Amino acid sequence: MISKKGIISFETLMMGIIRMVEYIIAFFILYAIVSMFIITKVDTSRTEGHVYINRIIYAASYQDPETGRVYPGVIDGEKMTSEALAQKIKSSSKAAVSISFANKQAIYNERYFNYLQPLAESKIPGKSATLSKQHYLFILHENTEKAEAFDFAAVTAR
Amino acid sequence: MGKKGVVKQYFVMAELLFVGIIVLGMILFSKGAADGKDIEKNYLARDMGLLLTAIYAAPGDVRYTYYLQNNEFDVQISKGQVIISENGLRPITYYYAEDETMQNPDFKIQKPKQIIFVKKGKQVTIES
Repeated sequence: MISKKGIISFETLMMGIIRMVEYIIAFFILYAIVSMFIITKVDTSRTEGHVYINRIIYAASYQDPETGRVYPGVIDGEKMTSEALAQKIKSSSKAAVSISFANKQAIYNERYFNYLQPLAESKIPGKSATLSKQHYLFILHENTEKAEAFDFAAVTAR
Repeated sequence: MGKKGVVKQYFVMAELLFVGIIVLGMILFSKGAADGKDIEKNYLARDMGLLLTAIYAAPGDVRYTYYLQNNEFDVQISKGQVIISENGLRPITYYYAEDETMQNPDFKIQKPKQIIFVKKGKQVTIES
């Protein structure tokens, strides 16, 4: 505490600090009110999941080794690896996809997938919610009745 | 005026300066929110980013013309990022997925009226 001979009284200093805190609180209240009524964000997480799943499907399309013809949408299981996907799809986006098929698993953007998957499973709503999208592509086998599928699980952050 | 008076005067001036900064912040924030430019830039960046990601997935060649009527923004597309800004200021960034096995675009233009996305063979280019 400053003595009576001090250049500024303790009360004046405290009043000044309290006033400044009030200004800051008022600013944040105004910010919150304006933010509530004006939309400044565009949520594309659902579309993003859809786009990335299709990008993966076409990135791993089967190509005839003899003719060079690409069969869009027909997946080559050998191209569906985490390493191949990381090379073919390089992005800083917060979208991640796990592909499970025939007891194998490939993950695109593994770091984000491990981080976002528990959030997506929790289904917590709100601005920081994570969206999960499931997509199946059935595998055709000759001379077998066993039903299998490529299981795409995309998770995207809002 | 005594020493005590001078210090009080400085204290009031500092307080006024602080209030001025807060008011300026409020005005800038309200202006930015009211003119809707941030949402427009955000929309453009996301639209172009997702479009480019989809174009990379195309099994054949693609030529896609993106019209930008009355556009006031600068566009920069490179290294997996779409950056929309106003004369280089207040940029909004969104991502697209590149392909390391292909030749990727490096594009920058001020206030374009149209942008043409081209995928030909192992090359993705952007023209205006």
